[in-house]
Amino acid sequence: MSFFNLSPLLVGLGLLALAGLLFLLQQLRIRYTELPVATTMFWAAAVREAPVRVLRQRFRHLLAYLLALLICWLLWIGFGGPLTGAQRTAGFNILVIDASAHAATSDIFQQSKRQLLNDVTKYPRDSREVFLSGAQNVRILATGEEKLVLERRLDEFEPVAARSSIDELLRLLPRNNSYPDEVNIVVYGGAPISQHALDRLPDGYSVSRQVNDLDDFENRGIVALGIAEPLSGDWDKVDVLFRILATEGLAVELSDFQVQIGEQDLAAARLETISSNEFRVRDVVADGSVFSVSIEQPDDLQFDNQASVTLPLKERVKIALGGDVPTSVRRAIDADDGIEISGSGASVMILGPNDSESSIPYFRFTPMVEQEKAFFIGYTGELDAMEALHQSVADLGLAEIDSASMATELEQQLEIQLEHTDLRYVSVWSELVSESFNFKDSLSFPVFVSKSIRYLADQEPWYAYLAAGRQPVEQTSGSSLASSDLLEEYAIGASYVRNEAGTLELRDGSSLQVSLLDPSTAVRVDSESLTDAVIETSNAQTVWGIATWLALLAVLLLGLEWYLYQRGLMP
Amino acid sequence: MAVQLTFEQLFDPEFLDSLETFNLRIKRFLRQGRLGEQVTHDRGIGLEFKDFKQYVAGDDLRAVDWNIYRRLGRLFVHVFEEYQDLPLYLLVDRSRSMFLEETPRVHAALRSALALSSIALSQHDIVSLLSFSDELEMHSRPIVGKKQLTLLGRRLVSLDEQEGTQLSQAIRQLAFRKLRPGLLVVLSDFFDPSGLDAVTDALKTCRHKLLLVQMVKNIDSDPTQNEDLVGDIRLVDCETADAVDVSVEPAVLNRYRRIYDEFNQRLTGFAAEQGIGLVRLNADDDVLDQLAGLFESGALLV
Repeated sequence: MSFFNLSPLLVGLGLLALAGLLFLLQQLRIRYTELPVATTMFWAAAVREAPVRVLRQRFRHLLAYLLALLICWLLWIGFGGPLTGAQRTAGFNILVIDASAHAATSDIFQQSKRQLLNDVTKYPRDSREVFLSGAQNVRILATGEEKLVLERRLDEFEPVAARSSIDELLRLLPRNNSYPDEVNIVVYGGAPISQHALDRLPDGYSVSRQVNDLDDFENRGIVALGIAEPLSGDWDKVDVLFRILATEGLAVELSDFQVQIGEQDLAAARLETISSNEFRVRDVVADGSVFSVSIEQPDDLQFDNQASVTLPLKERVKIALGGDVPTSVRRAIDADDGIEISGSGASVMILGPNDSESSIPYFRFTPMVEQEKAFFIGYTGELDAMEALHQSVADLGLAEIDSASMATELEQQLEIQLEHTDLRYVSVWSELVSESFNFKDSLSFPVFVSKSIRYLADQEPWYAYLAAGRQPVEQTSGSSLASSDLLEEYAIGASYVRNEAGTLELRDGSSLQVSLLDPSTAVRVDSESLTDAVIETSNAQTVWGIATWLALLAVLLLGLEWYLYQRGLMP
Repeated sequence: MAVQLTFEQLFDPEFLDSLETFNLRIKRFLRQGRLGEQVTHDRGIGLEFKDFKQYVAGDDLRAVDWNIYRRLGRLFVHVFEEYQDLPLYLLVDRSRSMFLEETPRVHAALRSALALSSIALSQHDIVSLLSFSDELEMHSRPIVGKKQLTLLGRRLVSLDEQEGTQLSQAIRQLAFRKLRPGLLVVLSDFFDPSGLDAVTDALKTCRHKLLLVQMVKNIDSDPTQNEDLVGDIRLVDCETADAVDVSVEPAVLNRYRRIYDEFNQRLTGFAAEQGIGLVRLNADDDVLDQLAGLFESGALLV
């Protein structure tokens, strides 16, 4: 019921302000109700003897003023809920209840809630806040708010399949300038807090824990699930790797988990054991289906017993060839199983020195006399020139080229020129790929050709893994999510996906799987520097009781004022 | 604005029947009258023997008491009581203050005027109806005879609200008119913007016998009975539209009551000093009951 919480000084200033305001209101000329009468001459004579109140004249309704002032003061004090100096503590108290995946073990969340509700009234209202640390950190009780509000808000939350956000909270809290120098943080729940997060807290901050039920915790959890290019080299396949961790005393057996691709169970024979807790499935067809691993054995935490990743959808790049394509390039194309020469529906055109222009992205080989720089690249998008340069060097595999020896042989510097256009293209000196030049024999040549064609085809990126609250990795370009808008709407900040496992529905109607994949959640690694909190009690509850009585007294005085007004005993 | 009385409401037969036993008399009558029921101080040719007086030249020889002359050798004549009619002038206030509020003063004033007219006409007196607001207005030639009471009633209900109140001016205008001396009945609240002194000064110039009927209401003396008169209000004069801002509180109410009492006392004192009849009729109460109180002995002697 308290709308704000002020210091005694501010409450006192408020009382003075109310007194002044009411005084001014009493003195202000008021808007009169008009009443026609026959006896005006007598009233005029009566008023002449004692004129009505006007601005800045004799103060008239002293008793009415005092009564109104008393009522306002009582209401002010009642709703203000002032706290005396004795009730204040030197520091500020931040109570954090964990609602991440850690709190989903047995009834630890309920224990934390009970303990928090019990403790919260022991802190002065003006020096405590409560945060809920689930998928995100949410302030669920602000300074000055009552316990009743906290109870209702807590009922709306349950633990979610998310990594603990407490480290992030500890990183952000010191940036809030409204906190005093001394801040006591009490964590309710067993979410791990990294030593790094504790170490970087400024002086004056202390962290302790209230409910930490780490004993007898037995769990197996999937902590990694990712996709890699296949060792077999097949263009349409991927290898999938995953890791399972277990608490002390538990072993990870092949029989403990099950693997599914789409709706189909994976044959046990295809499962390779890399180490005691790492496994691999090779040559999984990259058809866009969902690869899932689930632990069948029951344990203390369910959220990490299941993990999924969406496999990429790999398709051949369709190209069209001009009539004058260099032989070395043609050989590299033929060797690439991911490229298909197609008469119609081609997304990239390969052109020789004498071929005409193309209306689709093209890979062109041009004589040195016609092109100033060795590599002339037309790029699209919103990158500036420098970003585009770095991007293209990575995307085209130019970094792999031994440009120094090539320059020596050619007696020309190899330089890159970029141009922002509406149509992607890569134009290279034809002399570089001629039969008389040894670039065609280098290992980097087919990589360059292959990557250039894929760059021009502008294929959708795919993600090696998507873990809750962690940075994803785009497999095609190696760049972060920030450079792609595919997952941008789900990113927190610039490069993190949301901190909750589940299915991400994308704008184009497709979906991606996000898994928990958090080792600290699975096996409970905690900082050893945390101590159990010692909570100082205060009589904040008593103060509220007095405030309630003051408000009731004010209501009674209002009734008295109404009675006196009705009896004509006050104006 | 108050609802005007209809003729049916005013001309109530029961009300008029109740007045049958009442008489209106003046203490000292004026000459020039015609035969009526008012007992004059003139010793004339009436039927009732009153006294003897010594004969002076010009006396009617028919009234000489020859028996006395034979015994005493001096001439005395019979003196008889003379009965004359009484010109009754009803001066009704038509200002807005008379028409204000739910039970306006004018209702009681019209009923009073009708009652006095009925009494006067039944004793063969002459009744003239006049009204005033800013100006004096005479509504008819003098009315004689009880049968004319209906006509008078219709004229009374036709008196509507007028702007302004100039009672003192109206009385002066009346004084200048060459009317036969009679009884002037002023039915008003006497709230004249020019003040009570102007009214009393004007009344002093009047040659008629005077009966002042002051129309009052309960809220005049006790404003707290007006439910709207609370808090901070702007009182607007119903006639002049002058405004007075009032914070209604006990001190102001007490001052008002004192000033109003002083007003009434001055009017009462003036009437007593000048030998003028003064009647206070409460417009909130029944008129007949109040008239019955005035005519307690059967006659109102002015």
